[in-house]
Amino acid sequence: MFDNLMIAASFVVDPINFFIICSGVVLGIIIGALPGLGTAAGVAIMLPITLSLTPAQAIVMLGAIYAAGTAGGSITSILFRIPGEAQSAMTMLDGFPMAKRGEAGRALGLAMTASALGGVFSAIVLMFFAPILAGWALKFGQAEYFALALFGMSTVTSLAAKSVVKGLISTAIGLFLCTIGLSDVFGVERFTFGNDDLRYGVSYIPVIVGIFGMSEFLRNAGTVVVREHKIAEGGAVKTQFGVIKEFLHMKVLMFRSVIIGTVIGILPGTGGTTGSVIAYNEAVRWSEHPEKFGTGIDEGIAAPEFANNAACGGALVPTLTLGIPGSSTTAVILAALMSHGLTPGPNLFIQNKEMVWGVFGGYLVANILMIVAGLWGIWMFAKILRVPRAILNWVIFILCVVGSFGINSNLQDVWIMFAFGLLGYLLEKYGYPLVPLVLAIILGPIAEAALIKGMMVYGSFWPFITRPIGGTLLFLSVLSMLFPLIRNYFEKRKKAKEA
Amino acid sequence: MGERVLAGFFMVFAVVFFSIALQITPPRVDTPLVGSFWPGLALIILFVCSSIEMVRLLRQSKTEREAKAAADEKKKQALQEAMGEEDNRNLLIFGGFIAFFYIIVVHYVGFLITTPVFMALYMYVTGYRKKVMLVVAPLLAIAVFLLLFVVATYIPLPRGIGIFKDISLLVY
Repeated sequence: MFDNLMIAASFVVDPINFFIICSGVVLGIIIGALPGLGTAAGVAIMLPITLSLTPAQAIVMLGAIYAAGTAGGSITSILFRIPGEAQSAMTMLDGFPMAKRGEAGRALGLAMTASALGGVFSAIVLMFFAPILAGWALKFGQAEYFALALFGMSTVTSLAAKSVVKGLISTAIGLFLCTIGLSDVFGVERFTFGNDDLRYGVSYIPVIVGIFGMSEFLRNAGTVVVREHKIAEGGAVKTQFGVIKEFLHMKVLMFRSVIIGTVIGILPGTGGTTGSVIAYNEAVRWSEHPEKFGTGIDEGIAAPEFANNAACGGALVPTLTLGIPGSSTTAVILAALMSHGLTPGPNLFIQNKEMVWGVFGGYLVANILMIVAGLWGIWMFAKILRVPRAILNWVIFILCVVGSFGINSNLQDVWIMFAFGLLGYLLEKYGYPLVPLVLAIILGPIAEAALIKGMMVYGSFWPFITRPIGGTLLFLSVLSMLFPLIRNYFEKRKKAKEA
Repeated sequence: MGERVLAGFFMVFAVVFFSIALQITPPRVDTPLVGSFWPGLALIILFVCSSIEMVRLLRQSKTEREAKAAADEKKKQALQEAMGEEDNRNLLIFGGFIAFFYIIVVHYVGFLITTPVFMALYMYVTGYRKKVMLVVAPLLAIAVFLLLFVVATYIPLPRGIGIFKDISLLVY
């Protein structure tokens, strides 16, 4: 363990690596603060740019954007009553009233410090828990990998989607797309129509950049700002240092919220938003003065911020150890890992130990740096929000184009990005979730290969069900698909009783 | 209407590609499953779920549909009111078209010239009228892009063809 920690330390003290972490934090806070640009879109847009970095540098940069973006979402929640991120919506409930009272600096200080502490805790969990989980996953055979991929897709489909049917449609599209090209297992061409470029399949970077980034451009293009937002306290904002001591009075709340956030983050398909809502509700439930929540109190800001950043580190645990992303942003990070030729999963911890521990160290430092950025840089981030929407939107578009073009230096990838941008826009407009589609593109080939290889080894499908871990995961997959139906049934019954 | 068109499109798509999937050549080695199994499975799921969605949409009465659309619109308006934003269909279409033409033009003219020109055009159409802003912002943006992509991250950019390629080669 000590050796591993030394690897992590030597990675972060490298000046270039440190600069990359700092850049990730600054970019992340900006991305998080911009309403309409989520961390998943931000990370997707930045993904191609990180291809010129080493795998560890790339993942650390994206991880820093993820963590800082989650924290950055609280800036607009507090100052303008607009959550920059869905997971910052709960912070708005107490953050904005506090800012309205003329204490915006204090609210921002609380939010950024709570985010950083939540992130540091989850980074430590990641460092200690991920290798254990990876060691356990080393015993996995093809049946377990198949069941795991299926479990990841089914939980995201059922939990992340409002409608299971629409979630399944998105998953099916993703599963189909990943079959285009030359099949590794069968050695036959599928849906290539004689096109040489299609033989290598649809590259998932342009697809992901299109689905998250280009669709964001289109969405922003179709909305105009009709009212400029005013900072709640009506003037320049300076984050207050003094709030750090306030956390000493919130030890129990902090512990409870970070545990909730980390555990929720580990579960595929849930994430920071659910974590922050549960943490806030629990804070109200256990409080001696629940009536004060919503009026601008410290606990109301700290609880969701502890939880949503703790969920980031939590979501990275299954992503790195099992190759199952815990959130949409980690799905993009997973794609980044694969773009660097690495296969996420337990073997990553053996074959690329230095990279993994470099990422852990970098992620921990990124969370600590968030306090510095939050305390000294808020005025700058608030100014960036004043940049005209048209300019910001054009920057998003150019990043999408350059990112897609840069992979193979051809415009075909840019057209793929454009087409998937349109598809992503339409799917989201009509309530189809995008995360299952992306997840299916990533997990589909793993599931297919594991199924075929497993069938070759075992001779039938039966062992997939009878092996303890694989069977349990398959059972949980079925259960997670049925969960929305069971929930609807009980909700209807409850309503009928009330009526 | 749009929802039904999309569900219908998915149904047709699934049927067409399923028939293509059936023609996938069998593997040379003996495998328990064939190459068309996985895409076939995905397309069956797509067809079945799209059909369920279509039936659900068709079974909705006009009143139900209108009530749902009104509720969705109300929710959206409340959110946009809080965000200080408004929908603009024309700008959305313009955004789609400018992106489409940018990708066509950038192939011939290159990144260096296309990006600031289209950016100025985009800013003008979206309501920016200050001449200084329309000139300075695109030039500043292209300088930052070149610094980021060419100097810092060595990402290749489209150079264009003919004379435009020569111009691009002077810079990157």
